[in-house]
Amino acid sequence: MKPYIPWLLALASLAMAQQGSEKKKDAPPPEPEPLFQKKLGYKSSKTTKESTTLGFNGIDPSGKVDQKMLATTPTAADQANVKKMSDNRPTDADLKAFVKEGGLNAK
Amino acid sequence: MKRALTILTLTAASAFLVNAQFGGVFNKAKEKMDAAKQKAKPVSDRAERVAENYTAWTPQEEQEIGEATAAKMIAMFGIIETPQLARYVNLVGQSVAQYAPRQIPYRFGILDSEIVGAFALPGGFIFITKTALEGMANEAQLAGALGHEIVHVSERHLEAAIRSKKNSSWAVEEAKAKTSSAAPEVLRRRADAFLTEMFNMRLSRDKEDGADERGTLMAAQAGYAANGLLEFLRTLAVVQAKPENQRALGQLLSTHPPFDERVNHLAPIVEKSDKSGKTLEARFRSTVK
Repeated sequence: MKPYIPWLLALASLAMAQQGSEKKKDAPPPEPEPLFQKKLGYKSSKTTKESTTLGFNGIDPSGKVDQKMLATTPTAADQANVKKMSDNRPTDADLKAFVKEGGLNAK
Repeated sequence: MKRALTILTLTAASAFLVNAQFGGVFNKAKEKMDAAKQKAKPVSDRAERVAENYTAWTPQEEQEIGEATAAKMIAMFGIIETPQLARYVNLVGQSVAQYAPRQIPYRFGILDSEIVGAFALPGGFIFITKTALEGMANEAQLAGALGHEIVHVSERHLEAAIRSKKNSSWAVEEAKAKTSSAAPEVLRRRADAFLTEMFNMRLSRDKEDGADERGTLMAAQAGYAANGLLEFLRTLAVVQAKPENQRALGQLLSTHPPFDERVNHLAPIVEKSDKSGKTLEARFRSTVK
């Protein structure tokens, strides 16, 4: 066996170890533990705008909304969603049916 | 008979004389006690009373500020667009809001946020976070939480508190707005200032207790079990014990009284309430899943 082969093998394994640790650094942070057991399946304006979930982005470790988040500027799509909130108001007939179905008090 | 009449007349005359002599003293003592009680109220309470004397926003101003603020909230957090879920939260909210003392077009949305919270904005825009929904067990809990927010909007709590703060970002914007003519820019800045205050402001204790109490009663009036909000607060008090939940609950705790204190205030009120209300757990579980 050539005398330099063990040195080459050692260098190769060092390079592989280095690559592995870099991969670890690039890995996304783990998902936060869910607060409650239930997780809603839903479609969100945020996830349609961005490919990744934002999780706790914009919330500092103490739970307060941070300044960067407060500087967000609404887009036309956000304005449209406000209008949609108004459009989502149920009609009197829908509300009556919902109240009746639940056995709630009719006004 | 004559003797009885004389005794009665003498008694009445004595009572009149005593009142004339000491009545002023009694009244002054009462006035002093009232003044002391007033002084003992928190400063924030007094500030809010001053604010309540302000001219309230016109319906149009309230609506415009509400729309601008709602757009910013949606930009910050994102809104849940699943139609069935959005419609359901609106129906529950409207079932309660029809009993609100101030009738304006209330609208409800779900924010896509990992924090537990609900927010009452001007003009009837009310948001609850998806994480808050995930922690609820039934429709009565949702109705109670929305009831709390409806009271804040109906009674203009935030408007009064924010406008009473001297040197606040809102006060600066109100002053600037008087000299500016670019309406969209003014509205954008007003929304910024309103939310900056909202996320950092703690309403007075009586406003928060009042919102818990009247929100609960409003939900019960609509036909929901009166213990909805109380049970949800109990759930939050339990999860709060885990330090890893601080981030999800921090915003709510920084602007509201501690959960156990809210539970202690609300429990006797719920105890006295009608027990025939509905929890509607099955309907809730079939939609919030």
